[in-house]
Amino acid sequence: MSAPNIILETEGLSKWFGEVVAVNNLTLSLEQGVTGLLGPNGAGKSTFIRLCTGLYAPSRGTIALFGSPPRHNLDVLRMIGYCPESDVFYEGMTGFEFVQWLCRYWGMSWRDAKRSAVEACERVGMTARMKDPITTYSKGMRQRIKIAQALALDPEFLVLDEPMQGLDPEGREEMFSLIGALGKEGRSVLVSSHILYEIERVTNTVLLLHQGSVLAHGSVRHIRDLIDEHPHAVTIESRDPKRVAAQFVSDAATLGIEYSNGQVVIRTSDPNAFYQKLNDLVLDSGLDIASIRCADDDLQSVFEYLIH
Amino acid sequence: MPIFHRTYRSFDGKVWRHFRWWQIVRQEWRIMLKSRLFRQLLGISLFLTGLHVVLVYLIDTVANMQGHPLSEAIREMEIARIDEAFFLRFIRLQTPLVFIACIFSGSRLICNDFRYNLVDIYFSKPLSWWDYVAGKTVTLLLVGFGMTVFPAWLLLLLHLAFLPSLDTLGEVAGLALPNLMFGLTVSLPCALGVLASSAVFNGPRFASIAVFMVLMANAAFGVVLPEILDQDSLRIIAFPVALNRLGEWYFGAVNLLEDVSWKQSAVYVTAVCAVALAMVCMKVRRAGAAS
Amino acid sequence: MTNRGIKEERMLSEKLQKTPAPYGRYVLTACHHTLTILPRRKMTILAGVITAMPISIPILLVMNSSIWDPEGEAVFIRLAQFVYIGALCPLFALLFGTSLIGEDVENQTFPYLFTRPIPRSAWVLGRFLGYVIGTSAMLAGSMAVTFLACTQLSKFPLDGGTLALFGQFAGATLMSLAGYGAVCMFLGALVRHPVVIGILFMFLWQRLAVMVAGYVDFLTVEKYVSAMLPRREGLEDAWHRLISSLGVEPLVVDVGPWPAAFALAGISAGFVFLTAYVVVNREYSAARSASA
Repeated sequence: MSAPNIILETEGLSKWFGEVVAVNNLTLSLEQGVTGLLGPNGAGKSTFIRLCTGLYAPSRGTIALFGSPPRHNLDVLRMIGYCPESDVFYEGMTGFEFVQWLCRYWGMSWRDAKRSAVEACERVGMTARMKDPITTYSKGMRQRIKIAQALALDPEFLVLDEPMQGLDPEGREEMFSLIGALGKEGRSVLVSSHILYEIERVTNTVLLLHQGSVLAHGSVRHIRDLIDEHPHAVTIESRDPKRVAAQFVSDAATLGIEYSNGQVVIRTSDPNAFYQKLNDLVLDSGLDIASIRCADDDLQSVFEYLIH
Repeated sequence: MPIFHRTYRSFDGKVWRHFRWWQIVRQEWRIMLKSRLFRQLLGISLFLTGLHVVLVYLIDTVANMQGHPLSEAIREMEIARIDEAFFLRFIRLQTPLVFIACIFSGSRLICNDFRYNLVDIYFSKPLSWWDYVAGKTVTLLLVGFGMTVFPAWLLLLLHLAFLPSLDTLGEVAGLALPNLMFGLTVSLPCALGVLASSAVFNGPRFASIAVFMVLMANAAFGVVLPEILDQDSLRIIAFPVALNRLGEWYFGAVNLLEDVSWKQSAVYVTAVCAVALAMVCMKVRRAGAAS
Repeated sequence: MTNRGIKEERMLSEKLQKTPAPYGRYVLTACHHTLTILPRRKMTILAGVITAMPISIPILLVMNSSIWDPEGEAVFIRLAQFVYIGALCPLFALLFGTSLIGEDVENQTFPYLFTRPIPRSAWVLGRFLGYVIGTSAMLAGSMAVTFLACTQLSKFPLDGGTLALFGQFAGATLMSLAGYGAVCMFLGALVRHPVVIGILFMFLWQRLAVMVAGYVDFLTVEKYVSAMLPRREGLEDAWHRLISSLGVEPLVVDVGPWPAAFALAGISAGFVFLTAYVVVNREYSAARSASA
């Protein structure tokens, strides 16, 4: 029996297409709230989402949403709002008509669907343009309309596949605050992305997928701690890279040093101590440093650390 | 903050002055050959050509063998002649395949470029709108020629090889042009019609059905009107009849359609080609100007 | 969105969860949706133009009755038989039928629908109904105008007899649209190139099958559609003529109009069921649309 606040549970969930394994033996449970689904391209995020929304049937294992398998389960589908990744709409429709028609597929009357569509468009800030044809919308507007159709009827569980894709900085901010507000209202949201920064803005709970398997599941801080236990590569640009290297070569935490074109790459197993020492050196001995770059602060590096 | 003027460096590589459209032809053929269905259609066409190669061999060689059990039977058959009617029948047989292959491979040629914003990429290269249109047209024209003219010429060469004489050479020389003309008459309207449809509609499915729909409706009217009005010359309304009439005129053989005027047929086919070409050019020019 | 708005939405959501809409409402919604998107396509405009063209023939004849004076009945039967039923019904099925499911798969709009709490079979049924209503309205409307124009020609008065003839042709048109449409919808749901397969089925297989004597032509839709026609003009095909000229009586198994109508209804229902089965069980993916 699932715990009351668990909305999604999988047991040995696998999905393959021919010889390609898209999702590999996932056993996990997601609790209420906003969860970020992270992974590089081809990690199996979209397949996992399609399994969650019942578009795919598992090849092996089970998946339960609100205690029941989602595929062909209308009771479960009534609790889901899904915003797909693909940027497609029905030909020749306005944003409002699009949302209204999809509301009608909930089994609503024409009048209820109209009201729900108006509410949903208002929620994503599209009231002013909702009666215009979708073909005249910018990418950000289309994204908002896609989210509006998912938000209509205020579903218990919202699944957003790459919702920030193509949005401008302002649109992203709006999206961050919208997802944050949904989380605060007690809605459950599963939001996928391949950019760690985006996910960090909306939630502390993340699920990291890589090659169809779960790499890590928990809070962002926990994952960062995991990363910190692994070697960190810092690139320092300086007029005198040899002098910079000399300061760190004798440290026990330094695992390797490389020179190339006026810069030095230092690998350290204790990044906190490294940055502290670097600060002290710059202040005390006047090291000439043009720039410091932590090459590992992107998601791909996080994955590499966790894999190795 | 400094503000920089952003300009793009003009293309300074080596530019082909002529035949730039050839790159488009190569690219499209590469894509078409990846399709199994297209390869199957080519395979059916090759099979039919293969059957005709056997026929040419039987008629030219076996029929002239002294004492061969089949020679007498082949000589007595009315249709066992390598003449104008033989090549007319051969190209007529290949025509439905040309049509299906053009629809299948050509319906995506322009609409998919618009759908996936590839037109901008084409026109960012040193290609003019005319190169684009020529490239796409030649692509489909080669599909038609590959099923009609080239195999017909191959059959002519085999005929010459099996019966090497000056008479045969004269015969082959006389048949080469009608084959080319009939192949062109079949392939060009097919190619341009499919391209026009692809330019007008925004998906390959609709583009292909539109061509088919217009042709079938046209053929239905071509059957009904002559019957209603009791005038056989009105059969020309059906476009395939006009094509066949021109074929008969090129080869000067099998006048099944003598009620239909070849001149009117020529005007009809030319008009269809011109309208289709104009539609393609208008659409592509507009896109070229915008990009 | 106001708090009141959110509350109302939740109340509506809870209401729908407690008392879901009946199956029929989903079917009607899908049907209505199909009828809404149908006229917005460029293809529908082309189809409309082609459908309107047969009307011009009797009008032209009426206007030039001093030059041509054919019998109205013969004109109407020929137009109904060759143009409406022989050409336009299969073409409409090919055009709209293959798109009913195939378009959502190709354009990748199906995730929106399949994640709604709607039974997929209701969606398929609604789509099919929408197609039948939309296309038969176009064709029957055009056929009715053609019929009225033909009644202005000689020997074809507008009376009960001619109206019955029109009704029979209109019924055959409806059944033909349903039969061909169901087959094409199934192809659209199942195969990657439904148009090519549809063309091969309708214009190659059906032509070949009717030429072969015996029961092979029972595996076509055309057999039953032809059997439903009240009167035929010049339909004796070349193959039968050839066999007859050899002194051999070809085996032709005739079907009455009512069995043919039931057979077409069965074909339609069967293929709609098969389409629903495919849509329910198949996992459509973006890969298919990309390759298509």
